[in-house]
Amino acid sequence: MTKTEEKEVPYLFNKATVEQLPLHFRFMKRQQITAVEEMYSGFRFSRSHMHRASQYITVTLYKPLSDIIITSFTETEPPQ
Amino acid sequence: MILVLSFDTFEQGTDPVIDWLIYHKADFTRITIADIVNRNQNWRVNITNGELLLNGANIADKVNVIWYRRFLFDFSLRIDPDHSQYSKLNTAVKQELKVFFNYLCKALEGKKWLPHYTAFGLDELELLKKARECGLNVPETIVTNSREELLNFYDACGSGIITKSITDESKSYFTDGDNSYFSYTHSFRREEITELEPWFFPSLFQQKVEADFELRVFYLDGEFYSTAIIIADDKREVDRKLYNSSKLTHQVVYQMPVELEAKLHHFMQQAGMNTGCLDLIKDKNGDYYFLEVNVVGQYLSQSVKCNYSLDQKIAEWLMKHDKN
Repeated sequence: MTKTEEKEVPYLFNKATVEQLPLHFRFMKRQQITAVEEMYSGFRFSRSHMHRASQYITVTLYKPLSDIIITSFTETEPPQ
Repeated sequence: MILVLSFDTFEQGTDPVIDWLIYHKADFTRITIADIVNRNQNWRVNITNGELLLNGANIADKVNVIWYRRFLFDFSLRIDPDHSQYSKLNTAVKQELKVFFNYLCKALEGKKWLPHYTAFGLDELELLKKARECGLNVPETIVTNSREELLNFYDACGSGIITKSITDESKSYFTDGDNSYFSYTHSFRREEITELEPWFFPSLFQQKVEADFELRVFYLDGEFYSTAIIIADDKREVDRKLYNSSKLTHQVVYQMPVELEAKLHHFMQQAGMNTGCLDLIKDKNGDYYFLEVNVVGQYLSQSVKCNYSLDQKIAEWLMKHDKN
């Protein structure tokens, strides 16, 4: 494990809450968001230490596509 | 036309495929929950005649293939989370969307789906049972609320037990300030069990399988792309995801035995899944154990590490079936 991955979760839920949840909640791991990245946090996989993306030397970055709906192209109008 | 149902923001499994669709000038439309809920797209779904109008055009007639990538996961109500009714409102609105989405699926049921929409609702326990019926080794599994039953199960298993969430959907990723919280598979010691209260919330427990290494297998319409995940740490924890960023983790191309592939293929067919990410363990005796399958699992890490170009293959599959 890396330095950012090791701490057990003592603080997110109190004891009374945890006792009402499935047992796996008692063994949650706390990690810094900046170490996890991706995972719905808005960070990109291509920058994620958690997914070891920094070691990928063959990956090209992806184009963000938010707010774009592409319905069709023609030969004379290549995608931008 | 290919209809892509995915996230509004970056989604690691979607965007590389979109790049290939653009490269090949494929006829596709990407739609997100935000397009339906929050944006200025004109939608009209005619329940009586099945028309699906997007900006005035009936896409129900045009769409041949539908690629589903976590479409419904990407919605949360844009109101103050501290609002006293936030949770209830969020649940209510999600339920509305769910029923609407279910209708859309049925309206498009004659199309080619990847994966088929009926596969979204299969629960993990049902799939474990089905896997065993298809001849796969599955760790002994129970759900119990009882310390006594759990101790009996622990003693019967001999090799130890683990607990994890019943479904991936409950393994919610929590954030609090700078910290995130996530449930991983936990290996139980007998002393830990004896310290539990007599009854607890029903939880899943499985026989612990001592892994030689784990396999992550991407399945696409009969083809297998297998990756062995080898963790060179004798004192490793049971959940390999804790080692994703470790230099001790190696992902290498792996060829599964033909008999195992045949069983897995049969299982996927029985489950009605034409795609999915399968997790398996090869134990110290050389036996393979099925752990789970995620119909919309992430594949990009293994794709890149093993040069499988799965994003390209998915795009080619979508284009092929758009033409057929």
